[in-house]
Amino acid sequence: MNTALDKPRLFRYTYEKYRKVIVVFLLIVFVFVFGKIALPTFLSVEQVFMTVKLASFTALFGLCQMIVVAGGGGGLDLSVGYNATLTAVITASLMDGRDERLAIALLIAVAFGIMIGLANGALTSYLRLPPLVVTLAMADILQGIVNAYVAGKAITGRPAPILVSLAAKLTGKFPNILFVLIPTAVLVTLLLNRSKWGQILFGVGANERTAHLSGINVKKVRCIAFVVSGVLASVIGLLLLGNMGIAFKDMGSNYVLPSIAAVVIGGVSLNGGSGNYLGVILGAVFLQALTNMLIAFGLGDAGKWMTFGIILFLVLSFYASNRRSR
Amino acid sequence: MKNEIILEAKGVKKCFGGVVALSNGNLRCRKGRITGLLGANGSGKSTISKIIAGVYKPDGGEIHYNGRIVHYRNPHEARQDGIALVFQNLSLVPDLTVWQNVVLGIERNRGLFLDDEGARLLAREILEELYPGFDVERKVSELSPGEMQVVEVAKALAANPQLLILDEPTASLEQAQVRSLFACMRTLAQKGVAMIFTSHRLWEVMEICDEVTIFRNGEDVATIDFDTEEKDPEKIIGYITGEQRKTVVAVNHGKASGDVLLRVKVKSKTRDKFLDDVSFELHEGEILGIGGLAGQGQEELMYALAGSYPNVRCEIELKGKKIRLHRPQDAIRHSILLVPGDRQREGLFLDHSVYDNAIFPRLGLRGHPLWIPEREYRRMCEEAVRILSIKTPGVDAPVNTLSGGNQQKVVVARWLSFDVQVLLLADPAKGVDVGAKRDLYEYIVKLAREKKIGVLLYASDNEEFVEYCDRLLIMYEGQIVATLQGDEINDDAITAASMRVR
Repeated sequence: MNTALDKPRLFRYTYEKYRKVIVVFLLIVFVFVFGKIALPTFLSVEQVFMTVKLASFTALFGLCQMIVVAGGGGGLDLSVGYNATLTAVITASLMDGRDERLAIALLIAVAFGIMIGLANGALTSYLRLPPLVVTLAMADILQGIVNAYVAGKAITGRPAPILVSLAAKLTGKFPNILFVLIPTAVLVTLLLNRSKWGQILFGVGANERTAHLSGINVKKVRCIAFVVSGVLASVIGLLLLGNMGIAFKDMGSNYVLPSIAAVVIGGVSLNGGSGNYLGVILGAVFLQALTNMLIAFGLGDAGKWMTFGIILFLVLSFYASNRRSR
Repeated sequence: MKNEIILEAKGVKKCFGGVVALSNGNLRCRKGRITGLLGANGSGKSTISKIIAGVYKPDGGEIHYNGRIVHYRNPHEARQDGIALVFQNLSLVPDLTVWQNVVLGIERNRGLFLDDEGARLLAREILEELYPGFDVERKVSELSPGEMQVVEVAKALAANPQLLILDEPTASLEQAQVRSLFACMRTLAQKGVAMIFTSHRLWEVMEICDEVTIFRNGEDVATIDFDTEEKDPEKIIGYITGEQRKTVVAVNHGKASGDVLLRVKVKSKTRDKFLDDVSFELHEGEILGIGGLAGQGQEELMYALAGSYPNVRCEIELKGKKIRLHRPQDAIRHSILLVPGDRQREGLFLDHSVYDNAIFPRLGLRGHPLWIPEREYRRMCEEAVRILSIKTPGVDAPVNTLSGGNQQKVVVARWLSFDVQVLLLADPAKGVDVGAKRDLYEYIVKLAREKKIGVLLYASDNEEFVEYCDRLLIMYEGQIVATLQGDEINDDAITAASMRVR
């Protein structure tokens, strides 16, 4: 059966799988080279690391997003940023700059994450409400709690120094946040491709009826995906606090939509059934590099956003045209 | 005036992508008379009604209506011309109310706005005759399937048709509703409306129709006028199945000699149209067919045994031990494994590779290690590809690059590494080429005989029963109505048993 003719065909299937990752990578290279025209220092080790560091948080939120998206059923988590904000605001005053309080802060973060994730998961899986609306409502509720918490008083407290050095500091030119991101990426990639959890998640996302008849508890799997997303988002909240040094009212919300964009640019179908974290990370880096480049070109706010949007359209239509021609 | 011909179809042809659905369809309808259309699944009776109603365009032939040749481009044109079709699969808008659905497409204006009051009145008037006391303000989504069918009929009547086509309108109706539908049909006939009526229940056709036209293999083979000829069910069934018997040699009619493997008693919790009350025994090494007309509960029975049909109470004994089947996991744990009928919708992940598909059910097993033992599974998968002779460039090829037959083999391959006790096959040869079909059945027969497993087979094609079954149960409206054994399993007997039920 494995004739010589079949080898190129099999190679093509593997290529198809990673094509979008290659495309995003080339796009990033292009942005850096193009940016050099405007700003000679744009293509330098420092600049590249800076871009990657800024992109890390979008990439981490993108992980939450990708897990929920891969489970299918229109999965999407709009509450991740607000979840992170709430965790950061509450743990900031608790830690108050002391390392020995970090363990408790982490515990609280995980507990918040589980509660928020369970609520999202239960409402979407078991009550069959659309994830878009459920997580949007959850985002509003969380923002409301934050607003009530900070009303009439300044947010006090600082992150534990460990968090600051992990999220904000550099080792030489190398941003420390990559010590979090890279191992996470390796672990996630292994779990998705080599473990039963990843394959079950993809199966549920690809065809829930097939998964159900194969003996998988589809609702449970989707619910767990939301819980994982919630816990990750809370922990990212701690890192975000470490990076900023202080907590404020909407520190996390700006990451929500870019995290979805990173997932799509990374080549993950919003219909579920697939996922590739390397692609999502590259997607986040591309978004950051593009923003930097537009700023380097001196475009004003209006020009920056418009160009940003148009380029996103172009990239996505390129993906779509490839799907059609297949 | 009563016997005036209103519609005549002559030599109508229709192909669907190379498959001939209708090769030479002739039909005549007269004013005030009810013409029954009879025929097996795929005989072309449904196709010709849809052509007359403008749903399909014919590839050849002529349709004369009221003395002129007509070419309708869509059902709307036909409806305006007085030909109304009552759809078999419902065409109602669930979010609108009953009366809004009834007048949909024939709304009248009053000034700028629609004449809602007139429409309500019209709908109420029509429905009062069909189903007294029907609330026209309810939303269609709140109705039962039977009630929806009534609304469907009312909708067709609202256009004041001269020719009414009812394509299996009684399939989802209860006895009493069938009665009132028939009463209404008779009233319409007296007013001079011509009607075409199809149903798979022979007795209904005999009761309501003035004449019947019988279709077989895309042709009309006979027309019987009940005014001049007697109503002889034997003769009609003869026309439906065909005079000349197919000479299929039955190779495998062994006797079910093994011990009882599975004892099944399925009863619906509420009265369920599809799966009502079924009990039977399956023996070791036996291939037991579940036949009957399409949609009589065969697939629902398969789902129930696979743990995926919630509306039933199952009392199941496997090798003398009571087991519970609440979820698919339960069935799989007891090695009762389903090969579902619609492989693309419920059997496969089309974008995923042959390997990913083949190993997937194992991942849901209790105590499966977190990390997938890839080398072992790959060997298993390659073995399955070899045993079933699946034609694929390799196990990493996506399933959607394979042909239908090979996709079906992948569905079977998923269970190959399991210790099968009972295999449930829901129409496994649908859309599968002849070669792959033979491979598949040969493997299954071998599996049954050698490993003493029980096979439950539902097929939409009677030939598969004739060729491979040891015993055949015939289902009708969620119940088993006949059992055929050995030489009794032939095309004629199956069709007769499937249709001649009251």
